[in-house]
Amino acid sequence: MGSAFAQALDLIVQGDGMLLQIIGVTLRMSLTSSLIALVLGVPVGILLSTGKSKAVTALIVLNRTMMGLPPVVCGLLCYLMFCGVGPFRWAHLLYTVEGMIIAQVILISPIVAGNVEAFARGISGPVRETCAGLNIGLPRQLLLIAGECRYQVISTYLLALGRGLAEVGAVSMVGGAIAYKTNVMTTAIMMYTNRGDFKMAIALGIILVAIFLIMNIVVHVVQTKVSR
Amino acid sequence: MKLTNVQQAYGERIALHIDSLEFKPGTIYAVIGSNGSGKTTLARIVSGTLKPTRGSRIPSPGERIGYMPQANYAFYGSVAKNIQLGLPRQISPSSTEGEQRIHLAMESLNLSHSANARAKKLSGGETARMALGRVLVGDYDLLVLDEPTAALDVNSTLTAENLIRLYRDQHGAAIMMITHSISQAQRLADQVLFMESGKIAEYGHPQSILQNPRTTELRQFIEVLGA
Repeated sequence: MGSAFAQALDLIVQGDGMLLQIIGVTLRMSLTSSLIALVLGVPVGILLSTGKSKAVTALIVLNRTMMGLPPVVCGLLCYLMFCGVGPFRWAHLLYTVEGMIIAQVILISPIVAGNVEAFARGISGPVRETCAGLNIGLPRQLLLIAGECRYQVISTYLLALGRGLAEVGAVSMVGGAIAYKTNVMTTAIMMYTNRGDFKMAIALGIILVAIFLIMNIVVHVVQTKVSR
Repeated sequence: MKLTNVQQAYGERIALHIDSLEFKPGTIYAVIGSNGSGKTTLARIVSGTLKPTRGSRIPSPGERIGYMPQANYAFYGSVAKNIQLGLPRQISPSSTEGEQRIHLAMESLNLSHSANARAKKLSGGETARMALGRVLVGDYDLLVLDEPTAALDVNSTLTAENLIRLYRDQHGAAIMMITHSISQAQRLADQVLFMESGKIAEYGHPQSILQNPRTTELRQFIEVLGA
């Protein structure tokens, strides 16, 4: 085990080609999916935070349910949509990074919307009352609420990115963990462990943990700034 | 602005019932009453931020209504940026007129030294002054102020009162102001509304109703708060 760990460190230091390729696919997928989830989730979260009707309450409950959607169920749904008999077979998204990004957007967007909604709900009442008193229209009110959520949006984004990086169920079902194409860090760790190639699995594990460590430091700094 | 048979209910509880109330231009109305008497509900309905359960709220044609809520919200950004939010849509903050209004409001409310300070870092009193400045840079025919001086010290309260008078004189606006200070109502108001259990229990000139209260409730209110 000790030699596998040393070999893993060696792979990292030498910048192994396969290792870098897997990290590249992982970052491309997670950064893209988390950014799309942010663009979709923030406005939805803000809109949900300002509503009080039964329809909005139903949407909030639905979103919270989606926040807990098991990745494998998401993967199954996407697989059924993209496979040879699915309604989106024409898009040829199965076993592609684009298909994996779509699966992750479905998983992550509700998390972004839910986190933003929870924070914005706490401030949207006084913000909207103040804005209404100053005759500020609804579009500008929503922009002001978004501005008030700026730090929460940043920390929510980092959490969404973390979820995207750590996710394995949906990406393995939709992407198929194809080497040099759709194999990401989590699926590669599973694959190399099953093969008994521990040095690569350990190297990927170290890098994944290092990424999470950096992200958590950033989240901590952002949250400290918020609480000031 | 006119309210006719306005009623606000929260479930079974009637929080407000106003048979008839009209706000006349150039008049300051002080609304007094104990907690839960319906003052803020009335302010919200008059300002249009709350739709009454029943009855009619009839603004005059083209009437512009401004409202300063009880909770003074400080937006992210500087004090000056916060006050800019109150400018009428047609006046740009970077225009001469916009800059003058913001400068005057900050100077009058002793906020010039904090113009670039983060609004969220202000004290309660400073936030209240900023919120008052934010609403006073606008052009309104009816201004609804919910306890605008509650967090202010004596000097700031007197300054705020002068600004409110000035706003009435310059804009010819009707001003509805909620206060817990009997002496403030006497100093500032042209008309006083005493609210009790969601209704206007007494209404009239401050000297007449505060010196000769008809109802036991107002008498007790004056005794407790002191004239």
